[in-house]
Parts: sequence; structure tokens; C-alpha cells
Amino acid sequence: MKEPQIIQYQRVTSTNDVAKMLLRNQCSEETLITAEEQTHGRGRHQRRWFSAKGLGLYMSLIYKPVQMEAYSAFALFPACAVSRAVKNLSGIQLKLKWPNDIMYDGNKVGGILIESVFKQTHPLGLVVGMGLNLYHQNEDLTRLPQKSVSLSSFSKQKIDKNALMTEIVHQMQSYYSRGRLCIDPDRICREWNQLCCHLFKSVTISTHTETYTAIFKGIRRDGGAILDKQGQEIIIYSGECSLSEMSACF
Amino acid sequence: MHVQKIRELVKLVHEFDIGEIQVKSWWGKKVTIKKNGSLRVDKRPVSAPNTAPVVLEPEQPSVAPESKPVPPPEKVREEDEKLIKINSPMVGTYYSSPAPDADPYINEGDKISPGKVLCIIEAMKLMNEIEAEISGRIEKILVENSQPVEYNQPLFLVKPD
Repeated sequence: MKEPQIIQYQRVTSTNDVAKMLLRNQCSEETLITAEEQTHGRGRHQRRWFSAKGLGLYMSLIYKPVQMEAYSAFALFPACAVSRAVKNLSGIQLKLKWPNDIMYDGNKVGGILIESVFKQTHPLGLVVGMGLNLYHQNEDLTRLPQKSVSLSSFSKQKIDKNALMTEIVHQMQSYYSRGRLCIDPDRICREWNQLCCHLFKSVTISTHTETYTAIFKGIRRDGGAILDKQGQEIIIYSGECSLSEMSACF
Repeated sequence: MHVQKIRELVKLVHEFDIGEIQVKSWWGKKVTIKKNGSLRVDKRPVSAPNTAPVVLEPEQPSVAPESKPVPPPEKVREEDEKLIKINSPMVGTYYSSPAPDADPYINEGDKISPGKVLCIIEAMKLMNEIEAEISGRIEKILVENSQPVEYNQPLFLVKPD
């Protein structure tokens, strides 16, 4: 398999910031950016991602897909790749929450932020940012708005950060390599749905215009979420999903 | 869609005696070719592809002779012809700022230059930053924050330098 170019930092604002800057400057595909600490680690809509020094895994990968179909697949498989990597190294089965949260036992362990850059109509490529709580103590995480947990708190064995990064990169390459998807998008979609912790459960969806409850019926290959909203099937592509009290994410 | 691509599709229709073929691109553009009929380029965006899309470069849409052009919004038609429209490259949700409580990337009257981030379009869980390719001044912002936008929908009017 192709070995990615690796750029390691001690401290950055966000590995995605660096990755986007490199993307604009024509870096090679599958470049990996890692950091020990992020001063402005973030999720969607600039929500802060707690990125203290040495406590988490903070990394971004740069891609320049040739197939446009791959762009939609990127919305799904990075989370599957992280789940697979953690399972392979520790035996722990992580679950996924739409759109891009990585969960364990109802608590958030990590998240994925995918950003792309367009020169008006022309895509330059995309960056896949990954953040995982690894060695946080519970008191580090109690300040966060969402119930969070770190891998070390429920893993019987010590998680080696570098080994996990390497495994994530290898898993990513099993889905996508050299500008092309390696797995059929329908298969990726099935895998995501199998890992989803709220499949066929009641969820609360918040968009900028409304909040409602619905039954989450899975995702489609284009990343759209299929919902049953009061008996009517709808597809949504953006919004926030939270679990109702009765639908804890196990 | 490139003329060459359309030629290839027409050839396919004749070779395999296909009555009608419809191709959707990832960007929401649809081309229908009927045997013994006319070529139709439907530029209405679909909400998102639900079938395997044909891989196409995100080129400027071609306009076939029989195609029915999508009328531009009233505001655009009234504008000075020298203004340049910047259109949405995809179906998605338009965000004027990086975060709900942050300042917008641009305001009307702002100068822009190549590389300046103009907005974010969220599509399929990807946050897509749209950068300017031209220098000029933002004359008009045609969309509201958090508004759904369609493929090729005008977002900004720019007076070029």
C-alpha cells in the first residue's frame, strides 16, 4: 500500500486548517497531518473540540478524488474506518451517530469533520479531520456539553496513539486509494448502517428552521439520512441529530 | 456536459437500440436522450443523486439547442450586464459564516480577490468552502444564511476589477 506523506506538529490551530492550506498549495494526495495539541480544535460549525496536549488523537488526511462519486462516499466511510481500526487494535466496538460522531455506550468518543475547498466551481479536494479522546480523565470531559468519554477509560489495554493512527490510515486505504474508491458505495452504506447506534430508533432532528422527532431509518449511499417523520418518509442532508432519552446509543 | 460526452451517449442509444437514456451527474444535472426525439438537457437540480452517478467533471453546463433555459431570478435579470454571477457548484445549504455567531465571510461592498473564502455550502455532511476565482467587489448577496441552494443558483453578483 502507498505510504502517505506524514507531517507532524506539536501544536497547531487545527489539523484541518493546516490540511486545507496544504490543499490550496497543491500537496500530494493522502498526506497525513498530525498534532499533539490543537489550540482551536473544532467540529461542525466551529464547535470547539477539546484538544489538550497529548490527551487525544488529532489528525487530518488530504484527498483529491478523481471520481465525483467518491466525494459522497467520503461522507460515510471515514467513520467506518475509525471504528474498524479501534476494533482491530483493542477489540472495542465503537458505534456511529449521524452525521459524524463516534460513540461508545451512549457517550461521544470522537468525531469526524470533512471539509472541501472549491475554486468557485472546481473542487481542489477534501480534508478528513479526525479527533478521538484517548487518555482524558473523566474530569477533563465533564465540562463538555455532550456526554463524552475517552477510549482509555473502557479499554482493558493501553491504546497506543501511533499504532492507532497507522491502523486508521490503513483502514482508510482499504476504502479509497490512488484517487479511487476500492469498495462499492452500497457496501459502505450497509456497513455504516450496521454501525449506527440509532438505527430504527427515535431521534430529534434540529435544522436551522425546525426541530422535530422522527424514526431514523438509515442512510443512503449519497449520505442522506432517511427519516420517518410522522409516517412520511423524508431525506435530509444537513442538521443535527440527538437521541431521545429512550434511545440511548448502545 | 461536454458535447463529446453527449455524442457518446447518442452513439450508445443508436448502437444498442435504446429508446431513452437518462443520465444524472453528481452535481444534479440531468441529460435525457430519446431515440427519434430531441436531446433534452434538464438543468433543474435534483435534491441529491439516488442512483449511481455518471462521473463527470464539474464543467460549465452546455446548452443544447432544444434545451429550455432556466430563467434567472428577477433580481439578476435587472442587474448590470457587466456584473459577474458566482453560482453554487452544488445542491446544499448556504452558510454565510464559519459559525452561527461569527461574522460573515463577506458583506456587500467588500473587495474580493482569488482565494478569498465567500461562503460554505454544506452538502452530504461535507462542509465545502467556496473560494473566489476573480477580483472585484461584491455588489449583491442573493441568498440568506442557512438557505437551501440549488445547483448553479446565483449566490453573488460581483463587479470585476
